[in-house]
Amino acid sequence: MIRKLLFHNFLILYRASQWIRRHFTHAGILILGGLVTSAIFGLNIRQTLSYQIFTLLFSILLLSCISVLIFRGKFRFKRVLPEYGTAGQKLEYGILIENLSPKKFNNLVLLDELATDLPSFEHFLNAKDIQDKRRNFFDRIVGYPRLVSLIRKTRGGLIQPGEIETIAGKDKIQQRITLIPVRRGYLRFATTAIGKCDPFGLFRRFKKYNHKDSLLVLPRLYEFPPINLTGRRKYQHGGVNLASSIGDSEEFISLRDYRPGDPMRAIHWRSYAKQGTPVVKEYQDEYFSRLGLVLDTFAGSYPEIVFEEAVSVAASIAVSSLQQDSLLDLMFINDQVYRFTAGRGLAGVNNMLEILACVESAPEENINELETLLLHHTNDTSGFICILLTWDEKRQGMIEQLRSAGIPMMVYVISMNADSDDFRNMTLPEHSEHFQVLQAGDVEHSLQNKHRRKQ
Amino acid sequence: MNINTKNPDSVLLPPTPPFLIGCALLVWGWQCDFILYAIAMAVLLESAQFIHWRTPITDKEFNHISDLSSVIFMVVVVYVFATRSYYGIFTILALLPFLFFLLLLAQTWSVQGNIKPGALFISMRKLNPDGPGFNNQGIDLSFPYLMVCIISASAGNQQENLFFIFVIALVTWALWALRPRRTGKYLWLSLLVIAIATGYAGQLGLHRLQQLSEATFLQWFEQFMWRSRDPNRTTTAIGSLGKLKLSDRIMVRVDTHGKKLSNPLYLREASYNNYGYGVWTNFQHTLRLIDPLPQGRHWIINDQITGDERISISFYMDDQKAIIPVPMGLSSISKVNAIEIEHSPYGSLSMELNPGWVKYDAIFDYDHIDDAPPGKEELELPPVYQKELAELADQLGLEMQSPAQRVETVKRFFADNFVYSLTQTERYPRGKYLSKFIFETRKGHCEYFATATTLLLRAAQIPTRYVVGYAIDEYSPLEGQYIGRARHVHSWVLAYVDNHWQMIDTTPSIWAPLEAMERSFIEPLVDLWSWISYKLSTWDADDMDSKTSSIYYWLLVPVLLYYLWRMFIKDRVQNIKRRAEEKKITMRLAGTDSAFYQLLPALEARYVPRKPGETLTAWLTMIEKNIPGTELRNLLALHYRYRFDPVSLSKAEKQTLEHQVKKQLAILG
Repeated sequence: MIRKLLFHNFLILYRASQWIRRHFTHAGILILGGLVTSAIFGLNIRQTLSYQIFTLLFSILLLSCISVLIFRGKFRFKRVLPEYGTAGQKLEYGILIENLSPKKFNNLVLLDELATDLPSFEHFLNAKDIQDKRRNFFDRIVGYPRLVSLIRKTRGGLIQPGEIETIAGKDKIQQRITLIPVRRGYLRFATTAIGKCDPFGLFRRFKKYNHKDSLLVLPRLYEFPPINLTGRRKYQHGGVNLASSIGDSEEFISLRDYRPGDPMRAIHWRSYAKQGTPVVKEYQDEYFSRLGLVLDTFAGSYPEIVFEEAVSVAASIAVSSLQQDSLLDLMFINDQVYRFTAGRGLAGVNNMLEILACVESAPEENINELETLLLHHTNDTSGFICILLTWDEKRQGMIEQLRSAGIPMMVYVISMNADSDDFRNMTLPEHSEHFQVLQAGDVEHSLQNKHRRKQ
Repeated sequence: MNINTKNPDSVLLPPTPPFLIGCALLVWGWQCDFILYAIAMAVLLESAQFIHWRTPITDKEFNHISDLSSVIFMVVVVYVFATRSYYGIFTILALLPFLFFLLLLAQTWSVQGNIKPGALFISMRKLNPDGPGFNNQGIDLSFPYLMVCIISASAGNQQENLFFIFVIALVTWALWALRPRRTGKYLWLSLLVIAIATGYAGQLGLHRLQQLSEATFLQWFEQFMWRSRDPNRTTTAIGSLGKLKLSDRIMVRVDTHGKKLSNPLYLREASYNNYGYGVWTNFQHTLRLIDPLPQGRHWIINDQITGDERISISFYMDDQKAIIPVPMGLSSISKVNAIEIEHSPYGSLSMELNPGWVKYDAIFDYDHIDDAPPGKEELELPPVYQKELAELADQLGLEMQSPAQRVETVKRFFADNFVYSLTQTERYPRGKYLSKFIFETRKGHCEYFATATTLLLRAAQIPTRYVVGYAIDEYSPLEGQYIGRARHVHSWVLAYVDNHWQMIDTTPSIWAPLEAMERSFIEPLVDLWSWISYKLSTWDADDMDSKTSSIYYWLLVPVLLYYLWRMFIKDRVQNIKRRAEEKKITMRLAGTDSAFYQLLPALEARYVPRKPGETLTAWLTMIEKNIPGTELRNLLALHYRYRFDPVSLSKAEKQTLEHQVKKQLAILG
C-alpha cells in the first residue's frame, strides 16, 4: 500500500522533474533553487533579508516566463537517421528544420523525443536494475533511482537538446543531434519540439510536433577472442550452393563501415585516410565448417540484465566468428524454433545482428525444444557455441548429451555472481577451457581475466 | 543550408566572470560581520585570475574534500542547533559560505577546474562511470556558490536598502554573464529594469502581508501549538480510550550533588484548584515579578522558608518564557541568567530566558510548603460528583475523624482498593469518568488517582489542590545525575491539614516501573544523543568548569586529523605498500633468483666481461669457443625457460639447474 503510494508519488515527482529540466535552462534551475531557498528563509521578514532576494528572483523568473508566452513560429522537420545504432555507443543524426514563417528566430532549442511509456506498478516491483547493487541502502529500498533507470530503459535512449542560435525566415538548416541508445531493439521517435528561450536565458517555451520514426539499435558488442573448436568440416546438404567458392582461400567481398568489435587488422587504411572514418575489409570465408551459435532465451526468472548480456555475447561471437572461416547458425527458441544461417554468401553479420536486436525471452518450459533442435543438427554442425543463462541440471544434461554425441563445444554461462561458490562447486565439463562463466554487467572484465589466465 | 552541431547542454553552468565571487563574498562579509574573513577568502579565490599555477586534484581527493565539508557542516549544525535551538538556523545560514569554501577553493586551484557530480552526491559515486549518459561531465560550483553567498548575506542585519542594491548588482552581473548570445542588449536591459521595479514593489507587498498574517496566523499558531505548561489550565487524559503512550524523551535533569534519593523527588510545575470535564483550571491567578538580589543571579522566592537542601535542575525551555519545574517548599533560585522570574501564589515559577537547556540551582525545604492559603475554591466539588463523593465520605466515616486521620483513611482506601493501569478500554457517559474509576473499574493512571483524591478530600472538608510536575527517581549512570522523562510527568495532591499544606500521592508506587516497561529498545541510544546535545548546549554555561569544556573542543582534533589523514596520506601509504608488494611480485616473476646468475661473475672473471645490454646468448656464443662441452648452453636454455616461460620449470628441472650451476662453479674454481 505504502509502496504503491510511493510509486505514484515518484511518477508525479518524475514528471515534475522532467518538466523543470525541459523548461528551465541550467541558469534557470539555479535561479529557481535560489528562489525556493530564499522563500524558506524569508518567511519571517523580520528575521532575514531573504525576502528581498525572493522578490527580485521571483519577478525575474516571472518576466522570463511572460516574455516567451507568444511564440508564433511554424516549422517543418525531417530526421536523417543512420541505418543502425549500437547499444551504449553515441551516434549522431541530423534533423532538417525548415522555418515556414517569414520571421527570423534567435535562441531556439531543438528537443527530439523518444516515446516514453511510464511503467506500471507491477513492472516497477519486478524490475531489477544492475546498478542497484552500487546504490546506497536508502536508494535501493525507496527505489526512485530504479524507477528513473527503468523509464530510461523503456524509452531506449538519451537525446541531447540541440541549440539553434538563429534561423532566418523561410530558411532551412540541419541540426546535428547526439543520441546514446541504452538498449537494443527499435527506438521509437515520437515528437520533435522546438523551444524559444527568454532574453535572460532562464526559461523556454516549446512547440511540439508529432514526428514519428524508428531506429534499430543493435546489441552491445564486446571484443571476443577467436573461438577455436576442434571440429572438422562437415558435409553440408546442398553445400556447394551455400558457398560462393570452395577451398581454403579467403575471398574479399567488400568494404564496410567500422563497427565496434571489428579487429584492427581488418581496417582498410587507404579508405580510412580518404574518408576520415574507419572502414574495414569484409571477407567471405571459404572454409566450409558450420558452427551453431545457441542462445538460451529461457530468461523466465533471471534478471533481465543476464538475458541482455547473453544477447550481447551472442552478437559479439557472431561478429567475430563470421570473420573467421565458417557458416554460422544462430539457434534459439521463442514462440517457435528459429535457425538463421549466415556466412558464405548467405546472410551477413548485419542480418544476424538485426535478428539479435529483436530477440525476446521465452518461457522456461520450452527448454526441451532447444535440446531437440540441437540434437537434430548434430550431423551437419562442426561445433556448438552455447550461451546459457544459468548452469542448472536441465542445461547440464543438454550439454552432456551433445558432448556425448562427440560435438566440440564452447559453453558460456552468464551469471550475476560469476565469482560465487555456486560455480566452484558445480560439475564442470571435462575440458574446463571450453567452459566459461561471464559476469553479467562486466563481461569484458571476465573475458580479460580468462585471457590473462590462459597466458 | 547550414549544418549546426552545437549542443548547449553539453556544458553545465559556465564559471563566474572574474571578480564576481569576490564581490559577493565581500557583500556577505559586510552583512554578516565577517568582513576580514571575506576579504581573505575573496583574495584566495580571485588571485587565481593572476596566478596560473594549478595543482592536479583527483576525483577521489575531491570526494574527500567534499566529505570533510559535509562533516564540518554536520558538526556545525549539531552544535548550533544544540546551543540555539531552531533559532540557530539563521546562524547556519550566515555560516554557509565558510562551510563550502574549501570545495570551491579546491575547484578554483585544481587543474580540472570543475567537480564530478559524485563528489557532491555520494549515491552517484559507485554508479558505473562508463554507463551510457551525458551526465559524466564536471560541474562548476562557482555560480551555485555565488547564490549561497547572496542568500547567506541576507542573514546579516545591515541596511536593508543598501543590501537590496548590492543584490541587484550581483544578480545583474550574473545574468549578464549567463544571457544567451543572440539577445538584444536593450531588450535585456529593459526587462531587467521591469524585474527590479516589480521586485521592489513585491517587497513592499510582503511587508504588508507579514503584518496581516502576524495578526491572524501567528496568534492561532501560538494558541494551538503551545507546548509549555499553562499555569492556568491543564487537560488530563481522564476519559481517553486506549493506551496512554508516553515518550522517553528526557525533559529534566537533576543533579543532587552526590546525595542519593531514597524517595522520588517531586518537582512541581503548577497547581490547580478547579475541576470539570477532565480539565483542571485556576480561578484566580496572578504572577508576581520577583527581583533578583543586588549581587544578581539569585532570586528569593519565599523568605519564610530557610531551606538547606540544594539541587541543580536542568530543563529544556521550548520558548523564551516557560513554567519551570521546581521542588516543593522552594526557598530560592540561583545561578541562572534569567531575564525575568515570576511566581504564582499556587507555587508555579515562570522564567524568561533564551530557549534551549537552562540550568538553575534550587534551595528548598521539602516539608515546608508555603503556598497561598486555601479559599472556598479549594473545597468546591463539581456538581455531578457531589452526591456520590459525599456518600463515599460517609461510608469511609471521614466525618467523625480528625483531618490527619481523614487523610490517612483516604490514602488507605486508594492503596487497598485500586490498581494502576495505563489502559482504558470502556467508553463512559461524559462527565462520569471519575465515578466509574472510583466505584467500578478502580484502575487508572496518576491523573485519575490525584483527581479522585483531591475531590474525595474536599468531600471530607479538607481543602486540596491538584499538582502536576515530575516525579524524579531514575538515576542515569551515564550522566551521573537523575533524569526525568516525558513519561515521568506525574500528578499528586496538596491538602491543607492543620493549617499547613501537605503533599499526598495516592498513585500506587508501581506506576514508575510499569511505565518504564513501555520504554523503547533504542532508549539508551536516544539518551546518549540527548546527553551529547545537552553537553554541547551547556558548554558555554558559566558554572561549567572551563577546563572541562575545552577538553570537548580538543575531541574534535582527532576527527579532523583522521580526515586529513584520509584525504592526503592514507591512499599514498597504501600505494607505497602496494607498490612495494607489486615490485616484489615482479621481481619474483622475472626469475631474478635464477641460479644461473651465480655463474656470471665467475665466467666474467675468467673470460670477457659482458657488455651492458648484451644478451646472455650472444655473450655465451662469444666465450663458449674457449669452453669445452655444451653444458653451459643447456644451462642457459633452462635459465631462459625459468625466466620467460609462463609454465616455468618443474621442481626437478629447477633442482637440476641449481645442481649444474654449482658443478660449473666448482669447475671454474
